[in-house]
Amino acid sequence: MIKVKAPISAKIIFLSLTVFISGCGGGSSDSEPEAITPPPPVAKTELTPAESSAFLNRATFGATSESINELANSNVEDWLTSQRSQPISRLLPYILSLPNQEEIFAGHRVEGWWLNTVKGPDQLRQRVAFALSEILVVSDQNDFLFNYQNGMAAYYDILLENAFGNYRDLLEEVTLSPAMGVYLSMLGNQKPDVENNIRPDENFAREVMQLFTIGLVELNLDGSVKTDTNGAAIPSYDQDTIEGFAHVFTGWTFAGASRFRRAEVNAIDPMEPWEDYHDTGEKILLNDFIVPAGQTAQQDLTMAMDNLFAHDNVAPFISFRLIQRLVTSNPSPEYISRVATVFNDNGQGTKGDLWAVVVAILMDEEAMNGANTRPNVFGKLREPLIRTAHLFRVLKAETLLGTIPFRWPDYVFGQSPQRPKSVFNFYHPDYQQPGAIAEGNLYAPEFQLSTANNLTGMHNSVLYFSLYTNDGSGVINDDDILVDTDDLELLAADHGALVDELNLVFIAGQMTESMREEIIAYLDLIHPHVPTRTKVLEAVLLILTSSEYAIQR
Amino acid sequence: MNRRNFLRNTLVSAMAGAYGTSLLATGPLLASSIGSSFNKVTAGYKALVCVFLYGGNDGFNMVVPRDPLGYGNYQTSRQNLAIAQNELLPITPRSGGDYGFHPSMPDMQSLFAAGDLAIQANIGTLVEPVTRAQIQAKNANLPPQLFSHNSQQALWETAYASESASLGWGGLLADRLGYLNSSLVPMNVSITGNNLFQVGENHAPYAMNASGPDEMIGVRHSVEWEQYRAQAFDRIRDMQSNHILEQAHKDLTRSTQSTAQLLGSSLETAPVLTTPFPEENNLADQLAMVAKMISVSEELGFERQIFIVGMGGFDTHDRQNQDQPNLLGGLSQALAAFNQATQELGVANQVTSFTHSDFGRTLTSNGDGTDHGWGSHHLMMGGAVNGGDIYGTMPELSIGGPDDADDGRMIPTTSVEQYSATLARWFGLPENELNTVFPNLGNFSSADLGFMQS
Repeated sequence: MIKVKAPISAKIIFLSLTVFISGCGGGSSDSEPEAITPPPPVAKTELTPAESSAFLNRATFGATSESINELANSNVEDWLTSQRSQPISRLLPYILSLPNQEEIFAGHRVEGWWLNTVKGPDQLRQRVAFALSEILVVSDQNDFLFNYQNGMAAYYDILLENAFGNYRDLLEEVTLSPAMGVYLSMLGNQKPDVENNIRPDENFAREVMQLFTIGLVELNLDGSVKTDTNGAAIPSYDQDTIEGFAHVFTGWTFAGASRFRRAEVNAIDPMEPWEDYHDTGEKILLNDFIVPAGQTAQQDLTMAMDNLFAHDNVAPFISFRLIQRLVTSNPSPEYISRVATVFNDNGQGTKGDLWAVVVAILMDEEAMNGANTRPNVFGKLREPLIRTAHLFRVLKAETLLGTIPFRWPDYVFGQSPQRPKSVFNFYHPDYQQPGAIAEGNLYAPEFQLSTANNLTGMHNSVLYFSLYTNDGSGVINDDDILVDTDDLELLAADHGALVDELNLVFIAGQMTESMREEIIAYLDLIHPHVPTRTKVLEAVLLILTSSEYAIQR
Repeated sequence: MNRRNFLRNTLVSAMAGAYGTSLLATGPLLASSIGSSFNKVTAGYKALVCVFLYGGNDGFNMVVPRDPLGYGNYQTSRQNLAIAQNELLPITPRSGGDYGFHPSMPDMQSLFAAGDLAIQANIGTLVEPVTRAQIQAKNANLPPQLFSHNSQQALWETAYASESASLGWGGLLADRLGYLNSSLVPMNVSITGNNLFQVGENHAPYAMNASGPDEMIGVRHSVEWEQYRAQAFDRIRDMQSNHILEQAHKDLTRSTQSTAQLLGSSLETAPVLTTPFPEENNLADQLAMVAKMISVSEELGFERQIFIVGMGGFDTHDRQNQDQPNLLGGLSQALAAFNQATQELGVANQVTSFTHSDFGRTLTSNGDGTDHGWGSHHLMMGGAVNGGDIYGTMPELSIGGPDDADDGRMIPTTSVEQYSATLARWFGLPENELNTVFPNLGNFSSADLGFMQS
């Protein structure tokens, strides 16, 4: 089956529905049926196969032949609706289902992550949750959390469950999760003890503002920095604000503990308050909001969450980061502004509706058409984990047992789910790679992770997971990840057809003609000497190690 | 089995199982080293080694006053986080005073006594000198975003505290002194990831692992059965793209391949050092690689090199008493091993190591840890350091005292720029360039803190 490269423009079909409702029964007889204002026309967005592939590379862990067919034969709205209602593929139940609960370690969680992201039917939710895990960061590069992988998994499940929920709810669940409590030391944080020079821990208070909600400086709706009359950025909070929040976040420890200090570990359930350790004084938060004295820990927390969530920065701050994770490193101010507007109001007066935000991000004209309208900058460097998941999905990679035991990807290419070096994630949103990217004042976060070894490890792992996989001619071990090339082998007699199919699935039909010819020439060259499976994997290898593939557009 | 070996072995066996090959056997790069002469460093060679303590090291528990007044202030402020006076490892600075290292740092105590190590007191990001009165009156000219991790790391890396800048001081040095090299591989090498410190107009960090560079396999011209694929790969890689990110990725791929080849084959000839480096110490692994790089610097064509290594975990908001011994002990052991390695290589006078960190920490406690502070003490190590002394001014460690900005955040009395400029001058930055590279240097009384031999 050869997919012809189609022009990139979404075909939109307007199904104009004019609805009339007749006046019903009763005594009135002679009046004309009353025309009710028709609802706006329902637009359904149909995509070509190439456009479908590009869309799916943003909305899932990588387009496959099957998912492209499904979307291309339907429309984006129906696809989104279907994704929204898919059952959630959670991580904690996977962990709890494993034998030997005493010996659960980080690799088990990572293995569960691969299963969900590669095989889960809730692809959009998985992709959004992964994006959130790089914003609301909890990392098991932490002596405590490394040993409580069920807590790490429970935290990821919060992200999955709230991926299409409200950011305000997500923020509170994250705040009270024991994993976050440990990671940013809100757990065990207590009221001041003047005599001993002890004052509340500022860790979570600072990072919840800097990284999870509003950032360091005041922002406009389009993400640009507000400036004062001297042209200087305006800090969005100061040390006093941090101390206000630090006092709010006192008095919480593990659920069900018998004592506040050295509490018994419960890494899964939300933290619980101990009022004796909560500071009940008045606190001043953002925009001079005053939390009155005498409240409980939960009352204070609710007010603090509301105060953060009400700040004008939240919409552009979170919108920009989600756009970067899903679509492009350098969104236009207009794109950020459109998404932030939806963040502020989903159309029904609700702020923080992540489902509406995700739809706005994916269906924006810049997402759909950026490869044409911003051809030199649109897109992003694919993350090593997502590149690998894409390869696994297309080649249906798994062991004979159906597992995907690629447990330590960080040792190969520097990235593993929920394992960045710090709460600042694997990379900064405003990282500028020295050279043309910096000179163009562009951002390229994922380049920060592209050290020599990581870049090389990414390249080499493509080789290991394609050409070097066990071809089944000898002994197959339980942890041998195998790939399925059957469908692609059917195309392989026609090298052009094979490359076109791989181009569609991996590069959304955007491969340059010169690269296409180069690969075909190489396949022609090796054709007499290699089995069909090898030929397919050689083509996969050259495409997946190319820079044309590395940049998602 | 310890955690790191466990991880590595698990990975390797998983890979080996999956592919019938070993991930680590990637070509000639890891071939055993061949012992040879140590004359692989030129007489004029110099290297700077930045040791970045990520998270904000608590310098006030690293070097502590032992005299009754000084310790009394410290103890009153630090309370349950204070180190017991009789556990401190005493040092006697040449210029006087009675201080002690954290009990986990006996190696630093020895190096200090031997004159290989010096301490610069209470360094921090400053635009100009400021006082407690100015800060309290809110009319001090302060750096932006004090106490924020990444913002303050960036100000240390750029040694310019007025605003965020895009070039680091290591990069600016490379721009000015890189002409001395005849090397085909980058002079600024990071073993702790990409960073701002090493970015110049014409220089960028080459970031690699402590294990050294790997080769991209499957596309090697040196392997017979990979040659045709290598040719196809190269042609695809070398097609120009108008897309800025894509072209950057192509350039990065190309330079990564060529550097791995050049560096890998040079490292194969590195002499085997007898200096033992501590096990289970990631910083030591990184510094061992730096020593190895230095040992082949002449072959690679280097007269000047700038390295950065790093260690995380210093953001001790909690469990400070439990974590600090491992952090400071690990740092101490790694630095001492590196110092010995430079002596073994005969380059101790040509290699200067120094610490960077986001900020110091509060004197006040949050129960079992400290929060983000400002000024902090730092270490300088090497044969060219005027060791055995403490430079600058030790602050009074009193909450509400003259050096306290607020809540025990110490106001720095030496700026990052003075510290960096002193190192840069030793490295060979001409006098007339000092104020260009360090624009605020003129705001301070001294451009040279005196801890480097001229």
